[in-house]
Amino acid sequence: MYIPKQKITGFHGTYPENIDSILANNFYESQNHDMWIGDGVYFFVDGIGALEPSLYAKQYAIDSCYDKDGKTYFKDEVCVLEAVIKINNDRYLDLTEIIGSQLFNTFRKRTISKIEQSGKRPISGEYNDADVFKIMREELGIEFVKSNVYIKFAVQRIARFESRIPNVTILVVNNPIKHIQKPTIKVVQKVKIK
Amino acid sequence: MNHELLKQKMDKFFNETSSEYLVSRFENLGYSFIEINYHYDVAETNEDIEIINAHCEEKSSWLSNLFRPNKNKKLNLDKFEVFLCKLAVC
Repeated sequence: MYIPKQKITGFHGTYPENIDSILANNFYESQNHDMWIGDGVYFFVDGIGALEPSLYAKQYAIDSCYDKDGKTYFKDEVCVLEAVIKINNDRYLDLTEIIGSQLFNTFRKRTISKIEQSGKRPISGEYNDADVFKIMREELGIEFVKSNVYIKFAVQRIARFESRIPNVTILVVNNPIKHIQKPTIKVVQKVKIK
Repeated sequence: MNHELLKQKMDKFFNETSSEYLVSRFENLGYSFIEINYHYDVAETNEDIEIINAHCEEKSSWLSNLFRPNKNKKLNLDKFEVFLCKLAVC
């Protein structure tokens, strides 16, 4: 059923030194083309996970400050922020719905087919979902993407557990200043690592 | 999610966009392209998929023997399926 507007509560793990800036200025978008579903602010949200989304945000923040070479953590503390994201459904791609995934698969297929028609193919590397998402977002005006993904947390890394079955649901938001009201952002957890 | 609206935008985009534009979008993201001298299109009709599946079924019996796991080599079903389908479309 189409709902014009909806709100989703998301959880974001970060380091203590980022808190003041986020509370004052809002979230900033990660820009890394290796990210799972492209640039944006990543939140863990209610969905397929076996645990509460805030716990995944905490674990992700802890894992992200682990130095594999030194086998130690380079931060003493991590924080979990909660925020309410106001979704504009006209700019929302929900990959947890079949029609959402079909839409993305169609966009990806048509993109690659169109390029192939010009007689060209990438020479270096392979097409990357994050880059296809970037183009899809910009061309179709999408600012919210919800998806089920598989994230290898410490427990899976230690157990050497590979999988293609998603274990968490995430929401990626572009233009956070527009869609997240600062008063809804709050620190819900501070966790000492050592 | 307003699926209909996104679909309309997507159709409009592909109807109005040239392949050169899409190539340039990827080039701006750091991709390099080469000219290819043959045309390739991914299977898109049910008929295409049925043909691939039929080939997969024909070849799976002797190939499954080839890929029978032993204690030194772990059977990777994903790679096995990819290999089968590549073989089928050759």
